[in-house]
Amino acid sequence: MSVTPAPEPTGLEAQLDRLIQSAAAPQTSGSSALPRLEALLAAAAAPDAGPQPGELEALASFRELVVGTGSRAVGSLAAHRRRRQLAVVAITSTVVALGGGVAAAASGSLPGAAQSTAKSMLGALGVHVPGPNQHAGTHPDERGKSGQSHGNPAPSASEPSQADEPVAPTHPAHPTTPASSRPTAGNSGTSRHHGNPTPASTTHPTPQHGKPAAPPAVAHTHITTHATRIHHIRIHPMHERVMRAQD
Amino acid sequence: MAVDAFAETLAAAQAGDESAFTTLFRALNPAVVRYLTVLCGSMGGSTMAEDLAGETWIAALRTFATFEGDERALRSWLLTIARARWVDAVRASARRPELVTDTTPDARAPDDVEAQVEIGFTTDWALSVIATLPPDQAEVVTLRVVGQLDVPEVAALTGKTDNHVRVLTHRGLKRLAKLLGEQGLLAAQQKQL
Repeated sequence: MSVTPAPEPTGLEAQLDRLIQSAAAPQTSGSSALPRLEALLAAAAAPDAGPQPGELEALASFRELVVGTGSRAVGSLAAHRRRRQLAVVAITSTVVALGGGVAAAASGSLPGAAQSTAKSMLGALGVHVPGPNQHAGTHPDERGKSGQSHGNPAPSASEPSQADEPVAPTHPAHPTTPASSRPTAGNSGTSRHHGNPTPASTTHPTPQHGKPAAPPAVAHTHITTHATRIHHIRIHPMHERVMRAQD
Repeated sequence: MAVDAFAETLAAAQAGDESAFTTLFRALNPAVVRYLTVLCGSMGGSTMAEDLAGETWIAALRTFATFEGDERALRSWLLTIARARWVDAVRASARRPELVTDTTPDARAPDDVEAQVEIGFTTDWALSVIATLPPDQAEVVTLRVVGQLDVPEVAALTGKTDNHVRVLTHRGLKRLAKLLGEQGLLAAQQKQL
């Protein structure tokens, strides 16, 4: 790429340049070659240090935009303090709320689902939090279950192997009722929940939000009934053979 | 204004000193108003130039506290803002409906030049003569004479090359010399050179 060199100024152009410089600095003026042009340029560049048009408006803008910057800085300092106070209040509120939540979770006084969530979350942080049914004793949370299972014994509750080890009651509402020490199934008649006192729900709460670990007793009953029917079906041919033999 | 005096005045004005700002304003505003007067020409006259100068100062004052530079840089900065305000005004006027009238604009007749030479030059009259130049020439002559900017500064401000600025300046000055009745002197000098 070729670069075109700047043209050398001719004598006239150099003189014009001097004219411009003399107009900018009148004390260097002395060229008489073009006196009118020189006078014209000097008049155009004549200093005018007196009051200017629009000076009051410019001063007002100066007060607003430049001088006002200091007062705005003071205002922003106050706003900064206000924001800091709000931040402190917000942080304090958050800490109190979290602390209260943790304390409630640690005491096991949260609702079942919240207690289970708190256990899983705080357990990951190494904080021991009881499960939703740990203090339930004979009152495990059965949220989400239909009412037809109430009163039916769970199979695990009828297993004496786990029930042989009585667990000290911890529920303050039943200080003398070791529910888990009664491994036998059946309705106690005192509560509709007492039919499913699974050991798992008293000592090792399941992560199923209060649902008993064992399958519903209703299903077991159905199976039993069905097996009975099959038994009856099988009996019939034998009965027929016996009857044939007797015949 | 001396370099040290300007630096002190600028620092004081940036700190909020009104008298320092007034000193700067009185030193720099004439160049801004005159440059805008030449740019506006017959579009709006001195009233429009003063309005645009006010807008120029308002725009400059928004970032005035962070300005760094000498007097020349401050003047160049102000003239750059003034040019931007003038461009905005031209665009805004182009969007407005054109007013058709039978009266001719108030333009100075060439016959006045000789009479004014006899009376003596005033700043307003000198600017009006410069404003009769083609717009490009009038602008660069004004920036070089009134704004006291050198060729690279004018080139940067107007978006032209240095050579273009030089050519426009010389053509404008020659045209002014002819207009002032010095064409005979110009021809004689060109023959001598």
